[in-house]
Formats: sequence, structure tokens, C-alpha cells
Amino acid sequence: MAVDAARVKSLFLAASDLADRAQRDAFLGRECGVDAALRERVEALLKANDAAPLPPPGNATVDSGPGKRNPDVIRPATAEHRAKLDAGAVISGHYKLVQKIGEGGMGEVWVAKQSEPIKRKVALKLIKTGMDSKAVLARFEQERQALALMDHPNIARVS
Amino acid sequence: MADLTDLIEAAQKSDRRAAGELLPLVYDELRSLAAARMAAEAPGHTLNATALVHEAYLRLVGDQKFDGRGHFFAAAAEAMRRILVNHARDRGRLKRTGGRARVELLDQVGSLDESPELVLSLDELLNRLETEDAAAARVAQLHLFAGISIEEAARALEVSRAAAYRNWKYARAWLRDALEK
Repeated sequence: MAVDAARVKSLFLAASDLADRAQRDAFLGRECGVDAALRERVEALLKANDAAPLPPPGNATVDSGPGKRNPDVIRPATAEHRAKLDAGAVISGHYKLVQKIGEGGMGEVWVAKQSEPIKRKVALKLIKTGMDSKAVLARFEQERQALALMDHPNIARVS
Repeated sequence: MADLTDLIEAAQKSDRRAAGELLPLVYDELRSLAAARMAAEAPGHTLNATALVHEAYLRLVGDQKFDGRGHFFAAAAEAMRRILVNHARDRGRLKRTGGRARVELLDQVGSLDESPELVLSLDELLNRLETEDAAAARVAQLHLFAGISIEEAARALEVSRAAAYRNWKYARAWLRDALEK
């Protein structure tokens, strides 16, 4: 029996919003009844989605708290709604952009002035709009982790 | 040849001929940008679709404010898809990319060209998805090939942000499932 794609889609979307396994099973049991092919198709899509859930829409700034004592901090930031960036723009409330010093496929690097909790110059790495997917953010986090383990005058420190 | 912004304005007034002329114009611009980029870079270098599309936009439209962005991005996504497919075919023996890596590339917008094999699979899968669910396929094409965010895709398609997001969620799961097979 052919599975109705529109029905699969609406069941998938409804079930994917149910985080609770038991609730989801009950929902699918009720909706699919004895239609095993339908249930199998919806479960396959749920599995594909659950393997790497899509972040909810409008997920904004990743900011891991105020910086500590180190100068030359690299801090990842991202914002869905970010417009074109210019010098003078303020990011996450306390990083004022001074000058763009680099640009790549994933984003831009700016010299910025941090105002809170202490005043200092930092390098701010900004992810391009549309590039702030889970995988890219994970890559940034890895970079942060790697930098945090290093301590050398020529390597940027991270906090 | 008519100016791009004129064509977009005409396309917005549902002038089908203008919409038809828009695609080749955007396609030519993107193709020459891509060729210049490939010539300037080391062999094996990949194209960043997102950067190309935004560069083409600046060259064709400039930074003037205008509301035909949706038409531009729709044409750019279609053009970029064709360019990447041709490019993937030209690369001859395809580098095999494992199921897992292919699926992860779906979330790295602009990195599609890293896997010619993925580009060809996606082209085929999007054709299939299109017949099942055209709205989901349209969001996926805009996001994957023009490299724009789901929010921007919503504006381009003139649908609500929530609708675009749900269509992408479905298309993404659908593609991930198909790619892992």
C-alpha cells in the first residue's frame, strides 16, 4: 500500500514536537492504527531528525558568559537577525566593533572593544548569517576548546 | 539585455517572460563568478555557494534597497544548483563520501561542493521530493543551493517563518533519511 506523503509529513511534524518517548509512541499508535507502512515511514523520518535535531527557529546569540582576565579573547557569536555589520555596532551588549581584520567563508573576524565586565580589546569571530548551523557551531566550540588548552604569546587566548 | 532590477520588478507583477529572462541572467553571472573563482584558486578548491550568490547579488543589484530579493534568490538557487551539478559531473571520478559525512554537510550551508557526489544525489532527491511536496523542496533548494537562512527563504517565498521552518524540518529529515540509505 502506498504511503500518503502529506499524511506522513503532518504526523512527522506533530510527533517531532513530542519529546517524550511514551507520548510519541501513544500518538503514533493512535494515528497510524494498523497501518504499519505509514508508521514505519514516520519513524524513519523521526530517526533521521533525532540524530541531529534542528535547533528551534530564532536561536540567537551563543555567548558563554563574561570574559575573564585574558586579553586577546576569541569569542564566537552568532545572531540570526544580524544585519550587515559596521564599525561601531555593538554585539551581545558589550562588544563594540572597531575594525574588520579578516573574512572567510564562515564569517568575519573583528577587533572589538569589550566594555563589561572589564575594558579591553578582543578579537571577535562572527559567524555569517545562515552559517550558524549546529555543525558549524560545534566546529567553533572545538576551536574554543583547542585554544583554551594553549598558552603562547602568539596564540590567541580564549575565555 | 534588460536590467536585472527591471526584470525582477516585472517578474513581481507576475510577468512570466521577465521571470524566464531572470534565470539566464543570474545563471550567467554566477557561472562567470564561479569560473573566475576556480581559475584563481588551487586545483581541488571548492566553490562557496553562499559567497558566490551574495557576490552576484551585489554585482547585479548593488546595495540599493529593493524588495525583489525573493525572485533573485529563487533564480540564484536554481542557477547555483545547475552550476554545482555540472561542476560535479565535470569532476569525473567522484570522491566517495560516506553516508554520515554527506548528512552532516546538509547543515553546513555553502559547503555542498565539497562533495560532488552529494550534489548529484541531492539533485536527484530534490526532484523526487518536488513531486511529493513542492513547498518543502523549494525551501530546501533555496537554503541548500542559494545558501540563505530559513528566515530569508521564508521572506523569499512569501510564507511565514514558521511554515518555512516546518517545511525545512521535514525536507531535512526526508533528505537525511534518503542519503543514509
